[in-house]
Amino acid sequence: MIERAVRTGRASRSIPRVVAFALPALIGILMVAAVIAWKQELFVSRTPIYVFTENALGITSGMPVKVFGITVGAVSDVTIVPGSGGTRGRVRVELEVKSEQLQHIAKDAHARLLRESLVGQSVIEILPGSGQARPIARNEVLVFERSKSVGEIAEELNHMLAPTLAQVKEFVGEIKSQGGEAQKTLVQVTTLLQELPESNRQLRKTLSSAERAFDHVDSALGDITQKAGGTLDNMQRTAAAVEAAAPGVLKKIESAAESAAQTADSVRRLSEGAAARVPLLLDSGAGIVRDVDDIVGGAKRSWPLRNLVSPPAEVMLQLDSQEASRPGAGAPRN
Amino acid sequence: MRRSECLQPVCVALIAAAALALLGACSSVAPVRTAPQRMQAIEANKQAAALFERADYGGAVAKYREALMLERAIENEDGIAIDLINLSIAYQRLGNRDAAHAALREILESPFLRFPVQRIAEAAFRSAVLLLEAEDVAAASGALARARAACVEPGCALTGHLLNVQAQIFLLGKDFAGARALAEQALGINRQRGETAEQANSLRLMGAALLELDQKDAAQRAVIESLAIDKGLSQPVKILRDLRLLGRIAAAREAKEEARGYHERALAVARATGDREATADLERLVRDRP
Repeated sequence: MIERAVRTGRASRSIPRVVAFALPALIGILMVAAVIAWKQELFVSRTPIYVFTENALGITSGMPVKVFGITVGAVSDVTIVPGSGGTRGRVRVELEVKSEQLQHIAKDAHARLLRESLVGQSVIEILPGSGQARPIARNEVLVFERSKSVGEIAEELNHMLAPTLAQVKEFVGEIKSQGGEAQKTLVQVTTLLQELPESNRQLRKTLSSAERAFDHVDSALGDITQKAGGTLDNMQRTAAAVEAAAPGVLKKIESAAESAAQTADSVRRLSEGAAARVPLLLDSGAGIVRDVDDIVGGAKRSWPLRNLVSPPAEVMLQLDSQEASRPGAGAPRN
Repeated sequence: MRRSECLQPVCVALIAAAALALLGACSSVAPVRTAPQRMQAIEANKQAAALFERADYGGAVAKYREALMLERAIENEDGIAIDLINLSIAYQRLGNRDAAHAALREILESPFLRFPVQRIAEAAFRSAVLLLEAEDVAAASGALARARAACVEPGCALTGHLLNVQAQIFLLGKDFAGARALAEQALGINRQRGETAEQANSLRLMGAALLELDQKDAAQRAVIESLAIDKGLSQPVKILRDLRLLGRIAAAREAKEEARGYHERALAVARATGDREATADLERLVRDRP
């Protein structure tokens, strides 16, 4: 009996101690939960509005929604709406917009998917619409359009370049074909160019010989005939050499053109592959950066760090009583 | 004594400490969250300052104009004034003195916005500097008077700057004794406030005034000190001025070799900074005084 009373007394004394230990932890947990809720902007009033699109490519949940370049909300949900009565299904994108910002979005506003720069993050930008229309209200729908992606631009470029590459290939094929007009012309031009210096030299020699041997016409005529024969032999040898070398050169040109075409094709395939992956990587990277920014921002605003971090402010350049327009200006004053 | 009884004071102390920490956290004033539009303006301002530091004055002007538009959108008078003053400095560096004046006029002649008095003092001071560069002494004196009227201690940190401008006005008016006295006074204040660049300006002004007062040794000492400060701050324009002034002092002392040495050094700096006017002037000096 006495023992039971003692145990009951001990138990009743230990309750305040347990409370004293548990209370700070409980308060701490509640504070952390409150900070997280505030950071996640759970207390900010938001209004859902919708856009419909053919597909959700490039649209992800959490993607920022901007008006005038300022973030006013985010994509909260992307769902497929099944088609009915012969119409195709569509994608419904729910945008959670801060209620206080709705006044800047007119009923006739347009939403569009765009990338902030070539390698920037994707955002949904709302073009506010005319000043005459009333502001958009809860659950209303905006017209949606999407700007061209990097892949689409690459595809367009490919379509534009394809005919040019085909023409180059055709031209090379024509040069390659035996007996073709281009090959004949090339052979003739090469032969002519090879002969020109030799003919010139021979002509000068012939003229000087003719001048010296004007009185000995018979013997001079013989010399000229002999030299002309030599020239003809030279011409025949040169033509034979050019004919022998030309197919090799043409083959090399053809293989170089084929290599260039293959390289261009590889580059196109690589760029198409990269274009598909890069936006995903960038979106992930941007998301991580946003998270880190949020965490650092939250830490900077929490006690006691907030007392150690000075608030952001404009920077004033150093004022100088001897500021000058350009190097050396005003120097004579001193 | 049982173990639990030994730990009891420690627990009480820990709980008290936690309670105090909570009290401190709750009692401290929560910072006002900077609005996104203001943050954009601050970001643009900081980017412009970075461009200015890299001597990209054209880029700095463009960014300051962007920051200015953002500040105007939220009608933040202090931010508008800061960006306008910075814009005037960037324009001056580009040699566009008219645009620099126009930026300052928005602060000094605005009938609608009420700018902080400190910014008005700074804008009037900048206006005086610009007018002095154009050697418009009368207008510079007027702007300086307005700056002095708006420069109310203890918030105004421009006292040393204003005295330096006044000393320059005296120097241009050939009141060398007055210029020297003001430069000395400015030097004391600038030393006290730790305004290093302005200290060098005061010393250079003192040197120039002392040279005219035929106190060449004292002039040389002042300018050598000014040169050391400017080299420490890596200010090529000021180094060039110091070297030219030292050359003049040495020439006045008829120390031809020394003067030539300073002029050669000044010439090297002028060439390195691309200052064609100073280069031509110094080349002539070096050529004519072998």
